[in-house]
Amino acid sequence: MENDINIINLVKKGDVRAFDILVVKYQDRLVYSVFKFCKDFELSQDIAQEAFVKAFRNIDKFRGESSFYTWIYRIAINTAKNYFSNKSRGAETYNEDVLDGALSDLSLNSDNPETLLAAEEMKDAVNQAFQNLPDEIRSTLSLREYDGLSYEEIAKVQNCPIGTVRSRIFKGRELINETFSKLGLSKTWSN
Amino acid sequence: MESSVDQRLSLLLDGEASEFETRRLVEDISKNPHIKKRWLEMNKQKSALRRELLMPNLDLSSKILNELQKSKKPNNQKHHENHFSWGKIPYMRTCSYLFGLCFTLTFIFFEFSSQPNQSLLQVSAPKTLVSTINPVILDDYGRNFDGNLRSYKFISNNQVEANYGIKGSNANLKLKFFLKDGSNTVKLSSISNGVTINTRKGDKPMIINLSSDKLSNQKLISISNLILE
Repeated sequence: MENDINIINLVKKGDVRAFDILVVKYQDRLVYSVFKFCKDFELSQDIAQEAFVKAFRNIDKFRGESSFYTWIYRIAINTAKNYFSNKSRGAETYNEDVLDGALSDLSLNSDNPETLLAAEEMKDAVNQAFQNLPDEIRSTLSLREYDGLSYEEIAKVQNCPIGTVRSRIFKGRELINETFSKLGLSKTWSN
Repeated sequence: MESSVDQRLSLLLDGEASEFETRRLVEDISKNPHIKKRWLEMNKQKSALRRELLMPNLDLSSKILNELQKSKKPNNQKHHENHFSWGKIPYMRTCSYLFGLCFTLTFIFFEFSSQPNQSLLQVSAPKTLVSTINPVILDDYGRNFDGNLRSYKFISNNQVEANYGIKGSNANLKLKFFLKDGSNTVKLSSISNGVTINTRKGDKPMIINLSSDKLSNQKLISISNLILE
């Protein structure tokens, strides 16, 4: 589970800058999840945006019993359901496995096929760079990114100091970033 | 420098940055466009790695911030204002009194029980030390003994003092870091309290002095062993 408690405590004191950290951290994941639900490019963004605004206004209701992402995900899905019921459109059933279908729908309907292509290219490039990482670094980063373990948990699993975990993860990200810079891909999201 | 920022951002990305470090990063990201850009890039790469990237140039930040400017405070602040009760005043007065007492005692302990010339301490970091000791390192030391970095100050070009709260107890721990300078042995003589460790920071010898108002020397020794490990 992501530990955002320090950021959330600042947000609870009214720090909008701290909330912006959460927006940047979760916007892609949230838009992606909402898209699986509503299969509409623009609408996913609008719903995610509204969910973030609602989350900020109701941050005092966040008790930390689940991760921040789980909490905002629920807000987003409820926002989407309300949208569809208000528009009398009948929301499509949410299904975790619809990604492939959703992406093919997007390629047919999207106004931005270049965007989709760029996203796919980036995902492939990052995953290729990940596969090329040295074994130790890759396994450490994998435990973090795919299994969601904390540094402390990874240190226990790999029987190494927490500082080693920290530096392996950082090194992994640095190497992936190098691949990105070489391919000139980071320009896409800097524009 | 850039690498150090990336390291800190990497910790923030994983929710592993301490409270102190989080506050600093919130400040840095909001003020420095370069750091903000790196934060965005790192998140995009993370999303791509998890195959959750739909639109590479998506950034809802400005739209959301604009929306939030209209209602700056979250509801909870309004909630507290609405439910303020004058009946709580005696309780609040007691709390204020206790807080004031603790603050005074802490101040006396930290300021007057050590070096006399420390009342004229520098708060900002001299350039020579910034490059060798930064708060991330101090924060890291804290992790060794479940210490939360509360504050730090630069006492001289070669000396930094860090104050930690020990998680799960009300004890404080004060660490003084001395970068040993062979040409000036005076710095060494000022180490008199608690436990002293001789170690290295990179290729430079460093001395760390641990002292606390609540922790016994035995406890300080076990903490110093953790640092040395």
